[in-house]
Amino acid sequence: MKILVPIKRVIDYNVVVQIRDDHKDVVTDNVKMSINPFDEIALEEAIRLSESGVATEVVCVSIGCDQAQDQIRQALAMGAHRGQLVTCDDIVAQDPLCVAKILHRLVTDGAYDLVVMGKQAIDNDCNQTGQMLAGLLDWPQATFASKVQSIKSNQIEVDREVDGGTEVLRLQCPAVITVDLRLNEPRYVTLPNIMQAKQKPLDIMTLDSLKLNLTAKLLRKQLDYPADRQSGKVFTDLTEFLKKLDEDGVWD
Amino acid sequence: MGLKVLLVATHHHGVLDDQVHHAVTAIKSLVKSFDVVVMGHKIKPIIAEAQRLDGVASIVAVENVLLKHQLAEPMVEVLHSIHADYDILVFTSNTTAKNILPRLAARCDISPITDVCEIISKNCYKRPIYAGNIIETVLTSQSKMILSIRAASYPKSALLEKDCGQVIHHACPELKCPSDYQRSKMNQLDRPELTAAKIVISGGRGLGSSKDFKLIYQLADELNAAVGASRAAVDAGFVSNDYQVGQTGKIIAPDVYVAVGISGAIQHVAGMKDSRVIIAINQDVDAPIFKISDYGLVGDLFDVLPKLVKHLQKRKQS
Repeated sequence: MKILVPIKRVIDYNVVVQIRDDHKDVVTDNVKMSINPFDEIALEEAIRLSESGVATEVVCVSIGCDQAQDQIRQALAMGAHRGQLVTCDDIVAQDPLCVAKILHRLVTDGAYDLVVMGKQAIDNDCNQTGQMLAGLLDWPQATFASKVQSIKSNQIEVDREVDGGTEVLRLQCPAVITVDLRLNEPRYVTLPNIMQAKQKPLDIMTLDSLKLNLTAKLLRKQLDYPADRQSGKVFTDLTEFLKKLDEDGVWD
Repeated sequence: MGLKVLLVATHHHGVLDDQVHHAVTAIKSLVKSFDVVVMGHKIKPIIAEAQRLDGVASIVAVENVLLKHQLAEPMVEVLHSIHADYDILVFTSNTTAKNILPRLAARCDISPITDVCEIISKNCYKRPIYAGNIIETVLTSQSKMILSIRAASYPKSALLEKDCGQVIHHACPELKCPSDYQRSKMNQLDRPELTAAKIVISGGRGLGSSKDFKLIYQLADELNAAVGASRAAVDAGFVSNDYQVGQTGKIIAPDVYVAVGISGAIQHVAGMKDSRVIIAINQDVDAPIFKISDYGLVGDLFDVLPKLVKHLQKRKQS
């Protein structure tokens, strides 16, 4: 089984994100960038499927700027067999439908059996690309996976985290799985892993070379901070606190 | 001709999902009347409920055994066969809808806007990004749109007393369901559901142990409230992960949110800051949670919570 894991380069989840002065984007200069945490979990799961003999090859692809090579090298250090980078403008890389169309091409050309990817990226919080890719490919999908098991040849059982509980689906591959936070804990990479990863193949291509005619159909007008909540009164005396809550009819 | 809007009404256990009623309010800010599509198996009671949605014109009912579990693949086939009649398709933001919407959008070659928190016009929408720390204003010139509505941003619309909507039974296209449904494990709750409750009591790391989390349950039971938790409390194993409120858990907006022993990390605040009233109890006077609270109490929760419960009991008696 051959698995594709798409990864997105995003601002690290520990960074407090700032809006640029022109309100058109966020500040990314000198800001720490990482693999989208959900994608890292997808990658870990694919590597585990390879280690248990279910998958024969794990390929990781990123779509975006040149510097995304850093994240692909990180993925190779974790255990992906080879990497692929499709370079394109940010407006395309930030558009789920454009990205899904690029992945559609790569999946078709690469004869993959399974795509495992994060349920959403922590920058735009769209939660769209995996489902879109499954739709374009007309493949079955299992989103928000919290457990992935190989049942028999080309059949995968997935526990999905849904509102109020868990739902279990069986998929016949080829299929698309998007993963949730609690699926696994991604491994840490060691220095020898990082050194080895430098020898692994990383194929870089431009979007133009794929000859896809893509235009983003949404336009970002501006970014703003949400309205601040006014902080109210802080009490140190319980009796006063309870009296005020009663007076204001909070419990009614 | 006005805009033609279709609301995709998901449902569970024979009733419309709660988020559907929030989406109705959002739609009414754009148009006076709209249609609703109900898909599933044995959907009679749901159709009847949908007929009472405020502003509904027609209910498009599609019944098929393959739609029973509302899985994405067959649902998308049905919606793809009717979307051309509408300008805007509106979904909720629950997990059922999130699973379906993007697959449909790709099939229709439409770039959707998900998690809309404000509709400015039919071509302009606001949505939260970076876990709600930033609001993005998005423009679209697409002639057809697909949206999902963030329930926490719109109040619920009340059902009408009598039926309004006229029911149209839509012939189901030929369906296949390539993902094979096995089973569901639903969490047994003896309290109101977290995303639907009017009052939510959440506990954080300050509770110290799963045993002491009972203080939270006692307060919740006194107020008929749902119980939530911070990521720290979940990670520490005090409660299971479906209690988690925050960016990676549930995003809620109850009338009253009580945060007990929760410091107020951005991650957590993203999941509750739209609550109408926020009350915080924390022993650290500098805890960030106090900056977004309407009422704060600096104190030891082990001392405060039993007294608060007693106070509420006394109040009830008088």
